[in-house]
Amino acid sequence: MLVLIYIHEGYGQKKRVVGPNIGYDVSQIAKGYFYPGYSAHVLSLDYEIDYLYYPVIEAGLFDLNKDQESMNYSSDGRFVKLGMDYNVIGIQGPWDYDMLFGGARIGVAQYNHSARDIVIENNYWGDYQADNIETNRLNALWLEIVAGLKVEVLTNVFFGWSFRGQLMIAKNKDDNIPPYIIPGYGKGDNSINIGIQYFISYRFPIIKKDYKEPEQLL
Amino acid sequence: MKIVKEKYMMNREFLLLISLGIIFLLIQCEDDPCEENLNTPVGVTFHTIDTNGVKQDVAITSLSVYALDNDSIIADSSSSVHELKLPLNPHKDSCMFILDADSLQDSITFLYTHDKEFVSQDCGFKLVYELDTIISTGHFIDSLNIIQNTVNKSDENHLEIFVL
Repeated sequence: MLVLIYIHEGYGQKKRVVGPNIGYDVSQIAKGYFYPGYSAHVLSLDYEIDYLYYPVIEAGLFDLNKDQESMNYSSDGRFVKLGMDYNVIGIQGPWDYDMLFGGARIGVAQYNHSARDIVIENNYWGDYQADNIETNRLNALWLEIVAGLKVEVLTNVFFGWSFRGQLMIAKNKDDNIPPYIIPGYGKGDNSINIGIQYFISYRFPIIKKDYKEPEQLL
Repeated sequence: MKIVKEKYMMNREFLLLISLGIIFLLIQCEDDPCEENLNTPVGVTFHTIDTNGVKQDVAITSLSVYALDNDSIIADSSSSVHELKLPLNPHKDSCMFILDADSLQDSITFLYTHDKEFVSQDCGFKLVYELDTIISTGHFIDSLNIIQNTVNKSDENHLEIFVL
């Protein structure tokens, strides 16, 4: 794909802020609202290279406490994703930071989970209380494809969402109880997951670079 | 060559609108109640051997069934019974049932181990029994035939009882 840059005239030496851009995943708040006991905090950090490339780190903490009659399932863990976004529509000038992007991530998670107060209903003999299950330090590794958009709604403030397709590469098995949710990945049973994320981010205007007038970037 | 990219077609307001709108897509409900039968009783069927030596299904008339340490009746004598579900006691590793057919009374004793098995997040766990030994008295019961030792479903048969 050939992306050419349209240059506004009438500026002197133009500067462009390249970052860092720090975001918070607000969709996790919505998830916590709809799934009682779910709580996760996800931050992202990215940085612009050559107007089009954005190396990204996403990291998060996750906690789940699902209290049911049949058991009390809880899980906690953390994850990191490394990857890159690519702005497919390019930029119109040094002032233009809106983007439509595609990208990829590689994600790793480590988590613990447990099932306590396991009750197996028995109408004839009375309910049976089984032993607790607790499994610690489970790991998972997956690949993500990302597509989304990001808009500068106020100076340095961005709203953006992305679709994610995730593909599990490797994970620990737990024969006693399969992991319900893998932090950063989603439903632990699925070898493919699809999801949406919604980030609000702030670009700290710390690192600025001269805006070169590229004849073409690609 | 100066090209204004495709971007001019997407104005900021439009991008912002879909940016805000998409958050409603995050709403997705999924908490299903457990609809699976988590009981794992021993499935019993009654049979007899006819004069040609062929196995026949048989229904026992006015059979009442109960467990030794339990007042609740599993089957009362009102109807004839070919199939029976016997719930093993999860709190113990053996369990005796009394089968009362008219005036004849027999007991069946099960020796077993059990372990829990995960079913689903909504349902939790069920118990899987491994039948070790089954013993019966012989007033109207002739013999027993264990079809399968693992009891992990609610709708399977595990034991054939041959009656005299």
